[in-house]
Parts: sequence; structure tokens; C-alpha cells
Amino acid sequence: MKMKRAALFILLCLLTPRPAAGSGLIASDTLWSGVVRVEGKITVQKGSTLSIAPGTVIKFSDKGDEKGGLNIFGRIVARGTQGQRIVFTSDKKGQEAWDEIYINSAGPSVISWADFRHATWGMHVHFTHMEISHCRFIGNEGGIRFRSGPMLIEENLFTGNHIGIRAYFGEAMIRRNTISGNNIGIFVSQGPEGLQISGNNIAGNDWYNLRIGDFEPKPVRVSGNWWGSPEQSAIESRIYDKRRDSHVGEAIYRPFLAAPVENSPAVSMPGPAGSIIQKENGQKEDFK
Amino acid sequence: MKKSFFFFFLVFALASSLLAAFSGVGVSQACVGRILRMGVVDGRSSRAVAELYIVLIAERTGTTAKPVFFKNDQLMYQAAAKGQLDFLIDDTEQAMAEADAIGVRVGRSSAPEKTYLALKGAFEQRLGLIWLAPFPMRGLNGRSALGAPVIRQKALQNFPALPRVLNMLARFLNTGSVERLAAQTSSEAGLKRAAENFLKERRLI
Repeated sequence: MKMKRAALFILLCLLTPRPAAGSGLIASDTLWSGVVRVEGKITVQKGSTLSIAPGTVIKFSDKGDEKGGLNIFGRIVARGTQGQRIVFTSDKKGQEAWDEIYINSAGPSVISWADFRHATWGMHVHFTHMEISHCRFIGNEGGIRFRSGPMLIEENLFTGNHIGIRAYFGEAMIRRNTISGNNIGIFVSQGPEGLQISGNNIAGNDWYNLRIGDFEPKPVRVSGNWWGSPEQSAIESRIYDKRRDSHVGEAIYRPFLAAPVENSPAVSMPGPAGSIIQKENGQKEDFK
Repeated sequence: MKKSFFFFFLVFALASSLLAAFSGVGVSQACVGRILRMGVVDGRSSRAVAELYIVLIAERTGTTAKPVFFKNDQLMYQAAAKGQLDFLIDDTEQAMAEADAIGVRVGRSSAPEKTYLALKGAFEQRLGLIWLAPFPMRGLNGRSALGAPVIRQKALQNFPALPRVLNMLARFLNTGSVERLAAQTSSEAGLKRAAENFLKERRLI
């Protein structure tokens, strides 16, 4: 009888819902909330949805040699709110402390009102219908890299990253984002035909606002954006394209906006006539 | 008693399978974008040179180059022949030392430049491998040699602009610069930073 009770107690302990943490597989619909610690990789299997509640903080750490991150083959639905953002960050401080949210051939997914900090890549998306809006990618090696789509990347802030957005044969609408204070704002490595990049503030990036990869000889259409200046020479000085390297495609950036896009996420960046636009609410924040 | 034991065993088995399901090792996922596989004979200098090419390719093209390390040239060329590599890094001394094993017989010259040209012609004709722009370095036994990326002809179909990118580095590499870079670092992260600085200072990225 005692043995029976002990056995039942063990089973009960194992079946009691535990905090969403550790590493491994998610094979059924799951909701995360509060503070979630992820060691190594967690994989969301096809057919399962990982939902993340507003205000949730996900902290990644290594498991042995494996960096922390998520692999999504099912769906991810992470909808924060303006007042309760979702945060993806490292359990330790420092660049490249965690890996990435990798989404491949997944079901339609959404991430909104979320912050990504200290990742190798905040998001790495392939062949997935994905909406990313009102997010902030701050101090990562890269913000978003993607292939195919369709992707909607809208009203996000990219700053303090090495690369803001990198597209490889991407199919995406990229609009009303602020991409400033990175080394490279947007990197189109290859296959620009499916990209619609307009109505963004792409200014004040240290190396280039736009970099076209050495393997891409075709033109890249990027008209209708604010580039930090109404002067063509100033705009072209921050674009790496055919004008610098005859083997690389030309950036078709005209017509361009003569002033920054309003209602996009604000950050300190070049404004018209050499002015500096301040961050929202005039607050100072160390983005690095 | 037997019944209780059986019940306990059943619960234990169920619990074990539940634990296994929820604590499985994370699945590491490779990028489905194009990846270049680069062969390198393991060594301090060759790792430094390899890191330069990895960073150069990533920063200029957005393509990932993954190094595959080998004990010697013979194993590296066997992998290339099986189509497991897109390009490799080699030098004239190393290639000459194992030319027979690789299957390419070339007469040695006292001038590395002549050896390079002889190897270039023979490798292209017999192995379908193209030696790209060379750079001076110290080879086996401290002898002067020319290092170079060597690309498979078949890889050119997928990456026609790759030789142009790889050739950018040659004029900035020499025995001194490679050895200084190799000596600077002891960790992988340190080597990456040193390679980034090297390329940035020379405006290659």
C-alpha cells in the first residue's frame, strides 16, 4: 500500500504543470507567461503552437556548448501590448549571449510589441507567413534575417545591431520601421525581387544604410524611404551598390522622402538640414 | 506484493517516458540558406587565414562559410573529390609534399611562383580545381610558399562571383600579416574579432 502511494506521489509530481523552462520539445499547444528561463534550445514541433502572454520575459542561457534559443516548426503567437511588452533576452549580459528564434516552414506566426536584446540574430525566418510589428531589436548581432515569406515587418525599431535586417530571396513588405544606429541598416544579400521596402526611416547607420551583397548584380528597389538627408550625394554615401562596385546591383532609391516618416518608432537619428531627431518622449536609454 | 510491484513498475515506466519526452536534447537547426563548405588543413596560421575568408564572405555576401578541418592535404582533397567541399585553402609547399597522394605529379621549382603556376595548371586539368590569386606565406619546414584559395569548378556554377570576393584578400596577405594575426589570438571569439579588425582596417568590409 505504501509503495502504491509513493508511486502515485511520483506520478503526480511529474504530471503537475511546471514552469515553462529547461530545454527540449514542445509537442502540444503551450502558453508561456511570467518569467521563462530557456536553457539551450526548445523546439516547437509542427502542429503545436507556442503562445506567449503580454509582459512575459524569456531569458536564454547556454546548455553546454548549445546556445539558448527557440526552433519553431509549429507556430509562435507572441502578442505583447504597448504597456506590457514581451522581452526576449539573455540570462547574462553581453553580445551574442543567446542564439536566435529560428522559424522554418512554420504555420502563420505573429510577434508584436516585443523586445529582442543580446541575440546572435533576434529572428531567423524561412518559408513562413510571419508578421513582426511594433518590436524593438536592440544590441543584437543582427535583428531579422529571412528567406522567402511572406513577411510583414512593420513599425519596428532596429538600433545598436551589427545588421538591422538581412534578406535572402525574401518576399516581404517592410514599412514604417526605424532602422538607425546599426552598422548596416538593411543588407540585401541576394534575390531582391520580392521585397517592398518603403516608408521607412533608414538613417544614421554607421557603415551603410543599405548594403547590396557582392553576389547580387540586379537592381534593388528601395524608393520612398527617408535616408537621413534630402541630398543625393549624402544618401549615396551611405549606400553600397553599383556606384561603389560595378559588379553589384544598383539601389533604386529615388524618389525618396524629404523628411522622416511620422508615426514610426523614434530614435536619435539624422533629420532634415542636419538636425537630430530625439528618441520618443525625450527619454535617454542606453541601447547598447 | 507482486501486484504492487507491477503497479510501481508501470508508474515508473510512464514517468520515465514523460521525462524523456519533455527533456530531450534540443534539436540544432542549420540555416537552409546557401552554405559554403571550406576545407582547411588544421594549423594555427591556416585557422587564421580561414577566419579571414569566413568573415570576408559573410560580410560582403551574407553567405555563411563553414570551415571543415583536416589532418592533411590528402584527406582534404579526398573530401573535395567527393563534392563535400566548395573550396579549400592550400599552399604550394603542402600541395607539393602530398602531390603524389593527391594524384597530381608536378615538377618542383625553386621559385614558389613557378610551382604555383605548375600546380594551377595540373589541378585545373586533372582535378577540376582552380587555384585563385596567391599570397606569400611560410609553408612546411619554414620554406617560402604561396597560399591560395582553391575552388571546385562545380562550385562556380552556384557561386559565380565567389572568385572575385576571394581574390580581394590576396594582396593584403603575406607571411608577416598571417603570422601576426595567428599570434594575436588564442580563442575562437578572439580570432573572429581580430579577423574583423584586419578586414575593416583594409576597407574590405
